[in-house]
This record gives sequence, structure tokens and C-alpha cells, in this order.
Amino acid sequence: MVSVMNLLLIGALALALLVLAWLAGRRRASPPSGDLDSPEYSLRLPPQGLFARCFSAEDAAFVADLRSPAVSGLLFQERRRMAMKWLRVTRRAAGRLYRLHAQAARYAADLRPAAEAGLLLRFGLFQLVYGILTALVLLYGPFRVQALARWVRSLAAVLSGLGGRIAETARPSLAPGVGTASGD
Amino acid sequence: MRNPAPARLDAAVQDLRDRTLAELNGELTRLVYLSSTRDYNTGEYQHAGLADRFGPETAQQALARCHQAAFHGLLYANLADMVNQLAAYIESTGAERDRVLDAWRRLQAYRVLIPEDCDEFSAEFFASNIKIALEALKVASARVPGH
Repeated sequence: MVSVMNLLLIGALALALLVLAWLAGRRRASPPSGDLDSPEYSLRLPPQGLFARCFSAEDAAFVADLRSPAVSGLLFQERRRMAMKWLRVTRRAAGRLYRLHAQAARYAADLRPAAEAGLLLRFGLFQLVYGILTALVLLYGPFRVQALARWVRSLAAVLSGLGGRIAETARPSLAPGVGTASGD
Repeated sequence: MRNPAPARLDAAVQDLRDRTLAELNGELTRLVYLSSTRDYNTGEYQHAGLADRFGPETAQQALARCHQAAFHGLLYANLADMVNQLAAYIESTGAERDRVLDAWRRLQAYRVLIPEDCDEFSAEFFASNIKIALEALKVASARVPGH
């Protein structure tokens, strides 16, 4: 009898702790400002055209003609650095928006499960494409495999497109704030 | 700042292109000129002639628009074109090519060419391209007698 009472007491305490933790979490994580025109809701992806420029065969051929290992090395190093930076900035922008949306969704009264599932799927796809692109740039560098470069450019377009769609789904009235930085 | 009427702004841009920018050889030279009209303390552009003709606010926006356009043109230029632009600019200064190349490399003077509203990635990509172009031009110059 005592052990049953103990179990009940422990269970009640655990439940109370869980409720308290949930309430504390709700208080700490205040909902986003709700101002949809605020800059925190806008998604500004770096220009996709510049990512393509990181793999420019024309530039690689120009530098190869100079027959200078130092310049070739610099081009390779700089273009890889910029390609990696483009990927990081793009992921950061999409990730930030997704987190904001997830935070806002916790307080939404009219949550649409299908739209939420679609957004989650897109974000998962975005992460997958990001992972593939990062691995390709790291493993092969920007110029080693030209055939790969075309594929990488296509994947970058997919990544940019997914970033835009995440923004549209996360905030339907976001349209004016979504886009790449001037250039694309 | 009040927004000037679009037609007036277009006229100011055209005037700037016809009277001033057309005289300059190459997009990089134009970019250097346009960024030099910007006050580094306030970020405001100064052009007495244009301000007299169109008013200070219109002149300000016309200069900003041309600055962005020149920057944008160079941002997407290929490396060979960038190297040619750099060579043309150095030629226009009348200074010794190696000295200018060394100064640009050491001081990274090209960073002041970036317009104010440029995103961080584009600014870094531009600086990276100039850095490569400077090295390429140095190598190319070393192989051409007379430079």
C-alpha cells in the first residue's frame, strides 16, 4: 500500500514538474513581435548568380593561361571560400526564418497541419541539398569537375528556390520581403 | 530625405552619364570616381554641378543609383574583364602600375568602392575578385616588358 502511495506521489510530482517546466518555457520564449513587416521576417538570400560565378570555367581558363601556380591557387582558394560562405549564409537565412515560424506556430490558433508538414518537408529537403552541396564543394573544390559544376549550379537553384518557398509558407504575406540580394 | 520625381531622377542620371561618366574610360574608373564623390563620414554623395542643376536630393540619388549600377556591372564581370578594367584604371591614373598594385593590395583601397546598400556576400565576393585580379595583373605585367 505504501509503495503504491509512493509511486502515485512520485508520478504526481513528476507531472507537476513537467507542467511547471512547460509553463516556464512558455514564459521564456515570448511569441515573436507579430509585426510581419519587421525585418526579422524577411529572407534575404545571397545572389544565386554569384554562387554560379564561383564555378566559372571561363575564369579558371583565364587563370590557367597565366601559368602561375600562385594565382591558380588563390583563385581556387577564394572561390571555394566564397562558395562555402554562400552556402552558410543561405542556410542561416532559411534556418532563421524556419525557427521564427516554428516559434510563431506554437501560439497560432489556426494551425494548418498539411501546410506545416509541407514546410517541414521543404526544410528537410533544403538541409539535404545543403549537405550535398557542401560536401561537393569541400571534396572537389569549385573547378575540378566541370560536369559536376553544372549539377552543383542546379542544386544551388533548388536550394534558393526552397529557401524562397520556406519563406512563403512560413509567412504567407511575406512576399515583398522575400528575395535574393539585388542581382538575381 | 524626400524622394524626387522619377522623371527628374532619370534626367539627373542621364545628365551624370552624359556629362561626367562618359568621359571616364572603363567601368572600374567610373566606379572609383562615383565612390570618390561620397563623403566617408556621412555616406552622402557630393556633386556641385549636378546639385545646382537638379537640387541636392535628386543629385544624391542619381549618384547613388549610378554607383550601384557601376558596382553591379563589375560584380558580375568575368576575371579577364576585371583585369582589363584594372589595367585601364591604373593607366588612367598615370601612376606606375606596380606601385598602384602594391598599394591596392596593402591598403585594400578597393573596399571603399562598395555602395552602402550592398549585401555582405556581394561585397565580399567583389573584394575577393579584385584580390585575384590584382595578383593576375601583377603576373601578367611581369611578363610584358615595359611595365
